[in-house]
Amino acid sequence: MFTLIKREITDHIPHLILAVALAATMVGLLVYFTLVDLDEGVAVLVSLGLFAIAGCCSMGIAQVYGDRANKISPFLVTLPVTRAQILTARLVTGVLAILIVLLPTVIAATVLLDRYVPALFFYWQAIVEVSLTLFLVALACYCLGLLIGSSTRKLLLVAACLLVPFLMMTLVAVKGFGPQAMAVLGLLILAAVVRVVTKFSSTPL
Amino acid sequence: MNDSPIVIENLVKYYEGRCVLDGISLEVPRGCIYGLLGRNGCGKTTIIRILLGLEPPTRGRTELLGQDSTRLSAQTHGRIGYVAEGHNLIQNYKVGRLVGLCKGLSLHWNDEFFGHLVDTFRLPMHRKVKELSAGMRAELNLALAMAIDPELLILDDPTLGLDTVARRQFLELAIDLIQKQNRTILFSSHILADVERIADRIGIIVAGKLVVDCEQDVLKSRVKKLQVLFTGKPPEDLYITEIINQRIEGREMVLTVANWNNQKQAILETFNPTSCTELPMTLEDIFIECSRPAQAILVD
Repeated sequence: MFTLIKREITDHIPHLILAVALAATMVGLLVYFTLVDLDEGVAVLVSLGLFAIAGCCSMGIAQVYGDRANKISPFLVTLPVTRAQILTARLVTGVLAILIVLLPTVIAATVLLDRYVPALFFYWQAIVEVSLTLFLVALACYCLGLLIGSSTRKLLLVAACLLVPFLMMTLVAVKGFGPQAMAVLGLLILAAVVRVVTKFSSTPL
Repeated sequence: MNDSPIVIENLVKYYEGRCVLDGISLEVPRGCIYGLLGRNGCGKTTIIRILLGLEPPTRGRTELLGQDSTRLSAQTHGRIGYVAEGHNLIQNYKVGRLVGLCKGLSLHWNDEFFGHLVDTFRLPMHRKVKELSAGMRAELNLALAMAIDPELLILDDPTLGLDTVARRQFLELAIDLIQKQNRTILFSSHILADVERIADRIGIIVAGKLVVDCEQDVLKSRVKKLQVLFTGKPPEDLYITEIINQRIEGREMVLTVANWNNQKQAILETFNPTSCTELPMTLEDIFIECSRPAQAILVD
């Protein structure tokens, strides 16, 4: 399993490097705007967040598209590897990319709020809800990317990278950060994962 | 439980409404080299892909090493070496990286043997797979399949793209492998001389049906090509069962018959032929005769 995950990471290293760079930028900007003017930085941070979410979607697409283009799975399944293991390695790498961006950002935000805006830190439950919702938004975008990636229409793939993040953010805007949005996102993720698993398990390779 | 490494029972496969495999049933005994023959598009690769669980059958059941093909475990895959038609290796990987991946995922890896194969085939580890020639890709695929010391080796037209020397090397390797106890090989090829050289048992698929499934020696002894001369025009009412092919030219009739025996000989003699000569047949000749329509079925 570790070999499979390592292969996925190596194959998608540009995405992971981008994730690290994005996380570093977010943390840097968070520190800067907290020290200078937090209100001014919100728009920039939201834009970067949207970019990060689009990246999650594009990673899902890239994994499925690259697999098909390079005939990776048809080769792997002839080795001591099951389709479930291939898919698990793929999902683990995707979740890892999301966490690379999200974890440092959330930790930095928590520390900064605690230190510089203690009044806001009082609402720690809200911070947990926002973080979880953002994680689920990113995961939903990634899973939808995995679903859309099986399409051969390149225009659809590009359009999906742009549209899916906006749709997800609209959902959050309507429902707000919290249990309701999390429930909807959770169902969406579950449906997408079930569809990805059934499709990958039954498709001739 | 069946001890045969490969079991196929009443396998049916439809592609877009077209029947590709029509009730194929066969068993490959342990330690056997099975040569699977058939014309292009007859379903050889489909059988192999269904066996490996790469695609589902429409009906029927297949087993590899005692496990249902649709539910092959990673452990079972680890005991099977597979060389795919067209050598489906990961094209954008360097050879070294692909080897590392296979080694990392394999349950058993024979470094010494693999090194020997790399030296024999002179495989460049630093080049990308897509930059290799077709022959080199075939050799790499073969080396990867052999390095795991497979209990069962499935070769789908493995010598396609290999030059004569590499083909000979490959056949010698296959023979070397079979000499190790309990190794089984399923070998599909268009180069019938290769199959004739190494296969113990032959299966011929025609129009989705398995028309031949028997030992190579038995096949050769049971299919006879006879050149029969008559004083006048050959009889049109020569009814012998299991005629595979019949051709008439002037006073000469060339008959290819399955399961030739004394009874059939006696029937032929009632037509008073002036001579009856048996023509030698290679596996290729038998294959060509069997591939024609309206052939007899030769299954043990």
